[in-house]
Amino acid sequence: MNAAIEGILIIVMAISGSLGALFFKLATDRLPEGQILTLLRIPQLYIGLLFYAVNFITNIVLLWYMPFTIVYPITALSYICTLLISRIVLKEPINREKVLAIMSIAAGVVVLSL
Amino acid sequence: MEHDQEVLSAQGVESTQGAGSVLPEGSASLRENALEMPKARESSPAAAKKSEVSGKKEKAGHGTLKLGIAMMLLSAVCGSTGQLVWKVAPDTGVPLLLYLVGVLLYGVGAVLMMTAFRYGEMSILHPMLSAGYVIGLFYGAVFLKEEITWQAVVGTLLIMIGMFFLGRSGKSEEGQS
Repeated sequence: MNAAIEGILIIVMAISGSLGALFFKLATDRLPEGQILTLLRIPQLYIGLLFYAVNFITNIVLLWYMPFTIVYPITALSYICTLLISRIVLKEPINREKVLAIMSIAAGVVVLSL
Repeated sequence: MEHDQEVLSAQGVESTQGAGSVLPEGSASLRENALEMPKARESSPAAAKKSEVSGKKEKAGHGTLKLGIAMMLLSAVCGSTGQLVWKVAPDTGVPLLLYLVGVLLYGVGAVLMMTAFRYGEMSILHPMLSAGYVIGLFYGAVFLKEEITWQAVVGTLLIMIGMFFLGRSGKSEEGQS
């Protein structure tokens, strides 16, 4: 497959994973205590599920064209996207500990697949 | 129903301020739930401006973040166990039953993951799912007799160190506020 298309798919996979998490967070933040079924009435839940579906499909398509040992560590890219999206959308603080922690996790996933 | 949804989406990002105060007249079931909320609201004192942005859940204390992390880890266990069950299903006498068990585990894991986000910052909770990589390796070694390589050991250590510091980063933020 064309390298440009692969690159785009990788970016889509990383971002859709984080956006899925973002919308799950937005959905469950407005969930009343102990009322899990109310979740089904919150539109953000379905947007989150949609992003997760995109994440799932791009993951599978990438696996058709690239070896598992390359696609696998790329999934950790999502966590870096999550750090940025949580800062921009949710205004969550970024501190040095958090950055080092996520770097360490991403490095760990890369080493696992060597 | 339609009315509820409208108001819900109008709340937008502010929703984290507390469902109790912004619920519409029409949503009887939601309003009932709101009655259970004051507990949580009282625990966040005459909140500083800052808390309006980051949401009261984090303000409620490190205890809720711990719950969120625990749910994320449990979700990772469910997901990896589901995969293990799928992997071994064809080699057993009851493959269909095991595929179903796998789906069930996956479903429980997904609900746990979604709900966990409620109990803390997304940037802390989402990466906790990487515990799944470690659990998968553990299962591979114990149940599938897969070889443990040095990469697996180093990678697992890095992931666990990262998760540890991620949990701590939540604690230190609390100390500052």
